[in-house]
Amino acid sequence: MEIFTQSIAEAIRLVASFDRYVFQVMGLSLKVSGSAVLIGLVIGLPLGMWLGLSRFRGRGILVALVNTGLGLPPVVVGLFVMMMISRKGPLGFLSLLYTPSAMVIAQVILATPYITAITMSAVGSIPREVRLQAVGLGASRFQALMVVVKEARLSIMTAVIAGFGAVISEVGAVMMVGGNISAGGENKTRVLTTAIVQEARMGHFETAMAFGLILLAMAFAAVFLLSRLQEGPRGGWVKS
Amino acid sequence: MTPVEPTVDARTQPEAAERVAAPPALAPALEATALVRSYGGVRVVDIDRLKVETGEMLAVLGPNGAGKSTLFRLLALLEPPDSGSISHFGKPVSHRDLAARRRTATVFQRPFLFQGKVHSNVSYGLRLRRLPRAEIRERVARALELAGVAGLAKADVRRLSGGEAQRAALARALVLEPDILFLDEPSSNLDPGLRRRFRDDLRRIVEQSGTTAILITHDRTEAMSLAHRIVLMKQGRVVQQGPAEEVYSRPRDAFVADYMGVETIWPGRVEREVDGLCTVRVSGTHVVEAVADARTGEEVGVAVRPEDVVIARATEGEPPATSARNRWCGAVVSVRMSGPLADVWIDLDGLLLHAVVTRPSVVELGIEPGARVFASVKATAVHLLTDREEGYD
Repeated sequence: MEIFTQSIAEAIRLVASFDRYVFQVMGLSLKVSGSAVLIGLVIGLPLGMWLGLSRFRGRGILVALVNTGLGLPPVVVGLFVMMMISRKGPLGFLSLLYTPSAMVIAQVILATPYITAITMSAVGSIPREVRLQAVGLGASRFQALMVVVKEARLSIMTAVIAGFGAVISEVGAVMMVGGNISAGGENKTRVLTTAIVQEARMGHFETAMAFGLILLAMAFAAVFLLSRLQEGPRGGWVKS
Repeated sequence: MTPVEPTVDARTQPEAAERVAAPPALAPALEATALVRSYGGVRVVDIDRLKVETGEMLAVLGPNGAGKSTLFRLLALLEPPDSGSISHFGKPVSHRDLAARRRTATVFQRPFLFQGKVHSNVSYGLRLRRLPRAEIRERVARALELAGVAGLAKADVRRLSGGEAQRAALARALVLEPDILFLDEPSSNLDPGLRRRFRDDLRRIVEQSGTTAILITHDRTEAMSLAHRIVLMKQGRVVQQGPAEEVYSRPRDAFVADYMGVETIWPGRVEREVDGLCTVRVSGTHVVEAVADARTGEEVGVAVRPEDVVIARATEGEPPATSARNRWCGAVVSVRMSGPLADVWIDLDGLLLHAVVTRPSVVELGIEPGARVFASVKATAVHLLTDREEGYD
């Protein structure tokens, strides 16, 4: 059991001493996954609202596609993005392979279905009359949609946090397209998950554990934030 | 329709410029012409013409599935009709006309308050209209006061009772000082006790504000107690429209009579008509006299409102002294108490007559199943339903 106690103690020391390497890796993780979720929100929110609020031919197929997207294996997404941006791929001219941008692209593909699916069911559960009521008080079509977003904001925040949780903890896609590169004291594309793989493989359990603790702390913070939001004074859509 | 100079509205609706109608002062608050809306091949709304005068309250009455709510959404410009036109104060309007929509306000059956405080709900429409903050504050306070929820401005909407929530929804519409107020079953979600108070307040508020109001309801009591005029709908079409009192006392056909609470409708034939007094033979055996506009030989429905039937206990053959032209003797079939009144069904040797009497009368007269009673109805209280197609405008 010594291996645990020792590495945890060392991990805490690394985090507490603001170790430059550890914080560079953490910073890149936040940056990549944060950007991916923001872009995912820009795509997923309108898409989810459209799928949740309108009825049209072929909607069922799109909904099924989005739900399938929830189970996409990150490593396969990584492979797909890698082939797209590799030198021989259709987007090869952009020279994106092994850059943070490539990692963001892969994670956008992973995060968007989460945000779309949750937004879709959230706005779909808000009575149609809420929108009609807003229109009936003089809202434009857009303003009425904003009322729906506002009524569903809690679920949409859940969607963002769920999407963030999914991408910050995935290793397959960022490993494929980012390459886990950290050279000459400069971190290029190493994030928390790939760093854990790397450090553990090299026998640096205490460093790996430090990254693991940070990931856990982030997951905990997300869940904590979520539950606070849900029980907060301005919670769900209750009054009918 | 006299063409006049294009107005402000014509600028946003170039194609409407030609059709701009008479000056607003003379135009009805709302007019709908040839309005049709279908869902899945079924014509849910099919209205030739509907008119609401400025300042009046119109009730659109009808059973579930009559198309009232669809008509409501069309008239309130919440959704477009398949065909037909709507004008507000003489100007053609559509659901795309935001300026026209902003001169109206709606209250639905359920309050649908937005998350947050009552005051932020009430200020919503004013914020959309970008009014100055001070004015918003002042008008919100006034509307809350008017709707009787002044003390709840800072309350979270989730803490409100059903009645409070509906009053908040009413305040949210009233605060806009709309030219036309649309109300879709505003009281049917409330408890019976609350409902009456809400209606009384609603009538007072609408009268005070002088706004034109359109009320959708399936409840004839609500329509009668609130509206100046009633439009009765059935399967998407208008069956009768006119002053509330007229629709109530002079139903156009058996459906209207039944919906307005007449359960006694006997088929008969006019035998004689002298100076407006008709003698009608009902099922060969009975004779009913009615002051009505019918022709000799015409097949009619004889409608008698239950409250127009006067009941007396039959004592040893001697009929009671009454000036009523119609006097029948019969046996009570059933008595059903409902609050202060009782419904009584009397068998007049084969014809069933429905009467309403007060609870004390039931006791005093000893009205119980099997009891022999005299029932009398004035000729002026008998209404004849004819099949003739008449203009009902």
